[in-house]
Amino acid sequence: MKKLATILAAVLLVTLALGSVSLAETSWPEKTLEIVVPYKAGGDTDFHTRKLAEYLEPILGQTIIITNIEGASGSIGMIDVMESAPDGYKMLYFHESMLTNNVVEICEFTHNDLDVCAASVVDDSYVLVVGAQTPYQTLDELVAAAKENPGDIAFAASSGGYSYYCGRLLEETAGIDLNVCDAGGTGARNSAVLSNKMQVTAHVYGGLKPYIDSGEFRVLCALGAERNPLFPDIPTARELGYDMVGGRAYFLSFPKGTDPEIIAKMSAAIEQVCQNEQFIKETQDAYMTTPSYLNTEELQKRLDDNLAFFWAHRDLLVEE
Amino acid sequence: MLESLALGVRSVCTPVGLLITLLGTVVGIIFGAVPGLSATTAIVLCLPLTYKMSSINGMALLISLFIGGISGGLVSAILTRIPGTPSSVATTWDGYPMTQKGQGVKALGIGICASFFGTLFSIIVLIFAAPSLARVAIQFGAYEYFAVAVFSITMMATLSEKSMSKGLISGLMGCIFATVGMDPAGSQKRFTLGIRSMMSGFNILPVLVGLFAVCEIITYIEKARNAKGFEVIDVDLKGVKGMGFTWKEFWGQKWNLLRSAVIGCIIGILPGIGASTSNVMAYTVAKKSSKHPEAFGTGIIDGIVASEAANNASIGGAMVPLLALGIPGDSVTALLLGGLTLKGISAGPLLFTEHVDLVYSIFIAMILASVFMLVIEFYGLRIFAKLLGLPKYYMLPAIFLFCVIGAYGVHNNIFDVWTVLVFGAVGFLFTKLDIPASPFILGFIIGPLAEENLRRGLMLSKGSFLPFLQSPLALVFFGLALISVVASTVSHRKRIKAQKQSNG
Repeated sequence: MKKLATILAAVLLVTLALGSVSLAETSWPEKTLEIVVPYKAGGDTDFHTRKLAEYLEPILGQTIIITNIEGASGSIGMIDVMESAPDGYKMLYFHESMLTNNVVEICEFTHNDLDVCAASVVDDSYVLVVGAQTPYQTLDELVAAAKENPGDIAFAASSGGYSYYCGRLLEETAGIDLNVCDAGGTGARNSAVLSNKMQVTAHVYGGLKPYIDSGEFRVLCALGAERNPLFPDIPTARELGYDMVGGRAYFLSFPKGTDPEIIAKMSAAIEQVCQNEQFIKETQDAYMTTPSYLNTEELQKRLDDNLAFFWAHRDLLVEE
Repeated sequence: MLESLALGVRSVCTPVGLLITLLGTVVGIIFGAVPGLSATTAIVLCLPLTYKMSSINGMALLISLFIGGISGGLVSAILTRIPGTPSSVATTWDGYPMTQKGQGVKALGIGICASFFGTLFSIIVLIFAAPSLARVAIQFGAYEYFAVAVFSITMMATLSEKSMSKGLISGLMGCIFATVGMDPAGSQKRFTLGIRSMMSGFNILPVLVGLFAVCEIITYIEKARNAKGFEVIDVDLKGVKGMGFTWKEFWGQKWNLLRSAVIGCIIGILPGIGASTSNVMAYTVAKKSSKHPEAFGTGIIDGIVASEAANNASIGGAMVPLLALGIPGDSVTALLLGGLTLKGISAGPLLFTEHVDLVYSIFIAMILASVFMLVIEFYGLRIFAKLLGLPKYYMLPAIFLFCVIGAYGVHNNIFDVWTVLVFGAVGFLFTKLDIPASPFILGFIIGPLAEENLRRGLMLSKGSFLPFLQSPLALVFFGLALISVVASTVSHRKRIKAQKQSNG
């Protein structure tokens, strides 16, 4: 028993020592950091960035400035960071639209043109909803109706965006023909379904919550791999027999050629933030999703896989 | 309702709340008045400040910036012919001629009062009718917006001033320049010339600043070179009492005020269009229904009243779908929605029942901000007017500097600075060729709206044009468009005839 305790103590000491050594190797950050958000202030990406930055500041001991550089579905901000000095002081916080932008040929670059660091949020709160005026109570009923009248049910999407992918994914998985139409941004898509001009749409739960709560939207299924603990009553598409999963990672990356130690230190800091209960609660309250940390390796693999998947299923993103 | 209003008063009228609203209004007016900075810029910059505030104080700040910013645009529009924001383009048309006649103070005074009236009118509409109006607004889909866009495009004819063909050239060029970048429905790149920064297209603010402000500066320099000196406009402050106009004059504008406020409010309620369209629309309607349409553009108060009542009335209008349904209609309301989301408040149909205190605090903050606006601008009036006496070689470089900083500040993108300079040159070319710039701006704003909704509509109808004509709401606007075209043609013919007669 005593021996075990000694070994444990030794392991602990070594771990601590190693830990402190790895932290001591780089003196970064020594000045103010900048994170670029490639969208307007006030959106989901902006929210996740600002929250992350707020909790990173005390860990890194430096001020973090957020700069919003919008344009071309996030590509302008991404290119801005790519072209910055890889000194570890300028970063990009973006999500997997970075991949779809490449597939729909908005942007010739991918995550491989950056040094990815870590993900702080993997939002799997996507849900499929119909307007309450529509007769469809379940996903099966919607599918049956679409089979009866192919192309008559309108799915509100935003061209080249994730909602468009969800609509096309539903068509492919269920073997049905919907009228997947461009309806613009979140607000415009919601009003199209509210007024019954279009019948179906998909979005993150948080973006639809007000209408779900008021009873104007009916949730047919969630697109997460498993039930979301924040809305446990909603079944996943998989449970209902439709094998489709959606969700997107929000992650931080540095310009190509950044010191791996800086990336490791930042990744460790992000991991620490993702365990902070206050951070978890604030993210859950605002966007109905739970922060989940992906380290550099996991993130790189996820992005590689998804990029290959999106290219293989290009027809789900681009209108032929 | 009274109880809820009292609750709102209690939540906003704390020392901190009042201070925030006051500061917000002042900063808003400054951002509105300085060309290159706008209400949107002010809100973008101040949004992060609200993260640390209570939701009520945060909203009070953003809303007072909004109200101050839209109204502040009238100052530079009237005094220098440079619209401070896209929503005060129409204010320049009669505002600057009045300044040239030495009636700058009167123009400012009447503009301020019209602004105040417009804001208050729209707040009242918002308080009493928001939920039901928002339901009507969402009935506007692609077909209906296309019809609204077609109607708006017909206004180019009225804006064309002297030459119809030059006006239409300008308007079409606006539509064409707006197509640069990603196309709205298929994610194709258009006219980007392989330049990455051009993927996001030209932004409205830098285009406007270039076309009006930079162009005005270049024109001024040219004039000064030829005249070997700068012209100084005298603003006579002696004998000017109060706002510089009589109660009788103001009362004479009652129908114009009401009509313009209604137009501003309706345009504001419709998501997708707002103050930058409503000021032009109200001006056009005022001109068409006036007994003396020929006097418009020569410096009469009617034009200022129409433009300013309408753009400020669009504020309350824009808040209708936001508060009642959680649907933002423009970039400013989208920022406000973001501000709410950050506080964990999801704006939607239940906001009125679940967050009564917040909703009524917003109403109270809006009323407070409009009163502050009136008071600040009333006392600021003389300071603004004195600015005119400043030598132009101090003022113009300063304005130019703000234009460039403002253009950069909106998206933190250096490309926008180049946009300002390029459109400054385009604007200068326009003045040389005597092509009016206002139809360009209208085309630039409305062109994409028309295209986007035409394409969305066709996607929804699977290629059929019939549904566009089957929607009653769309038919109303197509009808208005037809009337507008016929009326313009008739009056144009008449004018040409009259000219021929007087010539020979």
